[in-house]
Amino acid sequence: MGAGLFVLAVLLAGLPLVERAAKTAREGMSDWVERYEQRFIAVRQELPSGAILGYLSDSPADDDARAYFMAQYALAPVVLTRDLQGRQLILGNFVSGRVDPDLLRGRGLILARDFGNGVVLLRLDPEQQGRKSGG
Amino acid sequence: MTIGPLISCLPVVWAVAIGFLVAAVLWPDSLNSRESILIRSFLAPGLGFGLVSSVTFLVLTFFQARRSSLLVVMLLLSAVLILAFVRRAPRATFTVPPELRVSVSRFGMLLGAAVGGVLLLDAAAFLLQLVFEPSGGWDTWAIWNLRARFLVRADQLTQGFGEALRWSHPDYPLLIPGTVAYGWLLLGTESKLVPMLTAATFTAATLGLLAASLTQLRGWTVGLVATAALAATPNFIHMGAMQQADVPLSFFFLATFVLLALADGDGAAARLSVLAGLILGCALWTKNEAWVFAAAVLTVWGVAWLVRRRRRLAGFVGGFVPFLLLVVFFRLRLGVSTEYIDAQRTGQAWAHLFDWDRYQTIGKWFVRQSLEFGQWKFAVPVVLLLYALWTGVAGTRETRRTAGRIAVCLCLTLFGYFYVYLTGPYELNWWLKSSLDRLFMQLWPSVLFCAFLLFGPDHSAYPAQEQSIPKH
Repeated sequence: MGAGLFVLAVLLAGLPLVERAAKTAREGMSDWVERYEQRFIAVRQELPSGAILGYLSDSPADDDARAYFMAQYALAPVVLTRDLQGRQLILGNFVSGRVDPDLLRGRGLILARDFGNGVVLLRLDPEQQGRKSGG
Repeated sequence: MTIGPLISCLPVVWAVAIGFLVAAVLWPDSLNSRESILIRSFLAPGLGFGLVSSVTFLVLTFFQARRSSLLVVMLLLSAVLILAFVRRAPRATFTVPPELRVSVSRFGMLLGAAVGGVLLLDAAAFLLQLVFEPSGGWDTWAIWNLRARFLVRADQLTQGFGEALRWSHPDYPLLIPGTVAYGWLLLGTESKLVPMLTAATFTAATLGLLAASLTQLRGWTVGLVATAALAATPNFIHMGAMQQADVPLSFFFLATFVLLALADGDGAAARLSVLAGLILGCALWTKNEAWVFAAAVLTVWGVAWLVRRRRRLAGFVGGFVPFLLLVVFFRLRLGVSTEYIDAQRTGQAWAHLFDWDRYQTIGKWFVRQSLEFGQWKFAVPVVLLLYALWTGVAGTRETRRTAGRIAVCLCLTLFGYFYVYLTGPYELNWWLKSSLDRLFMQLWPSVLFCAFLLFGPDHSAYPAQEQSIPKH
């Protein structure tokens, strides 16, 4: 009797399991991680395994960490760092799909190669570097 | 390279088979009943994944030709285990006397059908989530599978553990990423089925182990009731399907207690405690929370066994030490450090100890999450408490004694978690919100095991270690 009631109670308590499964089936989410990764396939093929790249993005603040982690996940074993100091190459992850020239100018960067979908390789602008070291 | 789903399953099947052989070789003859085969089968995935992930890490550390070396080491390991398995036969077989056999009543059948229905629902919910979120949750790709990718793709093992990747917790041990990397290396491709199958196997094995162990120790009805409580925990199935490390850790915590419960019996063999030590070591190789758990378990069983059960205690520690050494080697070799431990060196942790607001905040979160972590319609822990009051204390003297020890371990672990939150370096509300439900879930199967060792109907339990063993 007690065992039966207990099982009945836990089954009722577990109803959100059914609700969640039904919601998943109804909404049919697709694999957004894989879709995000697709953007990086071309650039990944160009990078050597042990490379350490700087990382720059225009993603909004509330999604910035996710964009950065996803880019790292897609490009492993290349390592991405937000510290741009002394980096020869910088990965630009422009989630808007459009490279922001003002952002590049402000950081003293120029476009090295555009892989499409807002994924670019950037490098330090030698002119600005020259001005900095000269001044 | 594209490979079929059946071939993608092979590395996982191989790992589970290895785990089964280890359990069979270490399993004492005195408990070699037909019924115990189920327990051994459900222990197998944990042991297997623990071993193959360690082998993979060591191969990647010491060998250049990684795939072929891994294959050779795996073949050698399998051959040694098969040999050991064959050499141990023929062995005494414990047969449950007819009067102690579980007789399943009509009510029991009905209960079984209800639990079977929930398990089918679990399987459907699990599959749906895998189909629609095959890459798993945030931690899965940002921590566990990221690490697995570094293990497989990087030329140098150290590449994935540097300072630039500190946000991805390079100090987290490698049982999950190592198992995934093992599968990917053997297959020669990064099949998503490997982490999916690993997660599914751990989730199913946790449910199965809870059912099989309580059926053995307390009887069929209690086994079913406990399984229903776990199977109807929506967040347990959700976390399992998210392919994170919390359900695997909950498996190792439960398995440690199951083996210690079997090893606690007056006539139990010391080998069971070796197996318990190995499983506890696997927990340490899965997640850092296991340090707190291991300290609690070693303290409680150390005290309990120090005087009259020294051989068992030696076996337990002996089983634990290889994985302890592996984790220490991993940390030293890759130079990883834990943010929490680093923070203890600053004065901040000391200041937190005297911050009363932190106690209040953590206390409130603990109370709230202890009722909500399962994402039930209403709080099952309260239902469990009412059920315990209804049935009263049951079981044998031995199961009650073991349940008491498990309860102390679980309380010590919770105190440990409380202390870590209290003295830790992160913003408290964010930290508690993002992790506390997972910590409770890690302990939930063990809480159920402990509760149902103590409470529930007293049916024809057959704690095998109490029976005389027929000689063959």
